[in-house]
Amino acid sequence: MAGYLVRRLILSVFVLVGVALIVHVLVLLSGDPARAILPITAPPALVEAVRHQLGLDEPLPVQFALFLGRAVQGDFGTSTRFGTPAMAVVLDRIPATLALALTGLAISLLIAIPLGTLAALRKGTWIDAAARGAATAGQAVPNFVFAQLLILFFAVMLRALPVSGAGGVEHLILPAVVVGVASAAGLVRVLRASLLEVYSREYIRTAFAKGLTERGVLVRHAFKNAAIPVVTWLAFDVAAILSGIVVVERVFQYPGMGLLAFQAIGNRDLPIIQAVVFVSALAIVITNLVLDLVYVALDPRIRVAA
Amino acid sequence: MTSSPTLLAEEGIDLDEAIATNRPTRRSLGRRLHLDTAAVVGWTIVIGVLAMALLAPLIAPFPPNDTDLRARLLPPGVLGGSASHVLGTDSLGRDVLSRVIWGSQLTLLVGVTAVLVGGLIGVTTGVVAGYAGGWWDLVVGRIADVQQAIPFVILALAVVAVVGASLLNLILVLGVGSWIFTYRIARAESLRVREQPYVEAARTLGAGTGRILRAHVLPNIAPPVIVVATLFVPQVIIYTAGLSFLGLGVPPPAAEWGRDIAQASEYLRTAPWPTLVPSAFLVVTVLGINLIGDWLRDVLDPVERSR
Repeated sequence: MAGYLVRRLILSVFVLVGVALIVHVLVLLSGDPARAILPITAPPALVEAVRHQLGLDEPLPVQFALFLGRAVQGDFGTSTRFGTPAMAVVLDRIPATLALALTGLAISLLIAIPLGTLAALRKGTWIDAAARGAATAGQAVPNFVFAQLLILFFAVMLRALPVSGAGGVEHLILPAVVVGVASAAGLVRVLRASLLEVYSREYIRTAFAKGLTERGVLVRHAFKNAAIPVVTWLAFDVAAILSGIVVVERVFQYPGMGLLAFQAIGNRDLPIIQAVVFVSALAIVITNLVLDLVYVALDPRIRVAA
Repeated sequence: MTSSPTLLAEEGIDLDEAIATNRPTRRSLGRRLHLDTAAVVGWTIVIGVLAMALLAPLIAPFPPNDTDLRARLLPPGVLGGSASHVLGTDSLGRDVLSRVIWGSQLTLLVGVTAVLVGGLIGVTTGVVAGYAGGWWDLVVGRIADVQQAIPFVILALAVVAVVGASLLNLILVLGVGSWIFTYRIARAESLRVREQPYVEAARTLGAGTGRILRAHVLPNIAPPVIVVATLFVPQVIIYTAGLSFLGLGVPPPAAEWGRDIAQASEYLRTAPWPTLVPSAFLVVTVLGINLIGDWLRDVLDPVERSR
């Protein structure tokens, strides 16, 4: 089991190197960084000097090694827009985005776990129909459309909540609801389908037969077995939540990492974009490591196979 | 739920016959494809939207880029706008209904192309990786790991920042961005199925890998894979519109739902119609495909349905 976890840890490092490679290739595709830094009128000798200084005259593998060395230290260069190190600019925005992501995830779990469980336990009743209907509707509404509707209703018609910017908790509510509802819609379906699949198994029948209550079966057998697909799904959803956050931050002008990345496109501020790609990859890698631990705890077959 | 074999035996029913008849049988195609109300609604929506996209040149009342600066931000005809602009006009005086009809073309084309490409890559790589394992599993898995560590929209932002926004780039980003979802579930399910007694039995009886994949793995992984793929078809359409909404999709003035929603949302407070109309079309389209997905799952998994 320890071997399994060590392997996962090594793989995580590998993944980050892979992400660095992708980011580096993007930079190579974007043209000559030396010319991007210098004015168009710069003499060829100066361009060559800067190229040498940036290591651009080295072979590609060496360039990548140099890039990797800087990336490990969090050095992605200077933001062309802010004139400060890109990583520092991104780090500044992380608390806002983290608050949005965690609040969104909490809202999602608070909605989805009770709703998905109830729908599965009361399959075929109106509760099930309502939960599935809500999930279907939730999945049909894109986050940016839902955000516009919330703005129209709460901010324009009721004038109850601010529509943009950051500040207190009130600025977090609408964006977090959009993030949470989008995630919950999928989670309800996955949890329901997963629980139904578990309830069709013979060990559940056995559990009932030996006299366990509905609650006992649910807590001691069903949840644990139904959790594996749910955990798999959550691993995807973290990335989806971060994706959604870019859109949500743009709609609500919420000053997080996503809005920063979005604005960086307009300025072709590649150092910022590189740093954002890296930080989000790091966040996902860490989450996946935690989920690996959950897998090990849940599924003895994985433990034994490893 | 049927009675257990023991109970049947106690009632004097032949056990073998009971087991034989209890086995999920292949129903006639007509019965299997039985449409429930939700499926009818879903198909109606999807066929309607497809027809709208195909017939756009015939049914759109105006060309999509016809501007009329004297008729800007008109409400729909019935709400006091001009009778010729049934669903009103946008900030450039373009007919909203015509934009929506033309816009369906790009939204659907991009979404469907990307899903097909991603799904094909994902299932093929996933089943082989899950069942056969080995170096193939390792290589594909690591590629997937790297890509999955980058949130899709952020990857798309990075790519577009470098190569620029265009129709082809949008399809490529979406297609390559979506294979992992089917790959992961196809692999995980193949792994699970591989350890099942019936697969071990088939192996013991001498069935080849090809036969096991066809007869045991594919049918048994199909339901969860289809659920996930279903979750992802509309997801790709939403991402298509979402990337366009962020300005990463098809450049203006091409009509595309996401882009039109983004452009009109500036005027949301004073003139919500140009935002709400394409939004409604997008939501209904996605809902329609979701309903078909639910139905497909039921059709392809008769055991689940009989429960």
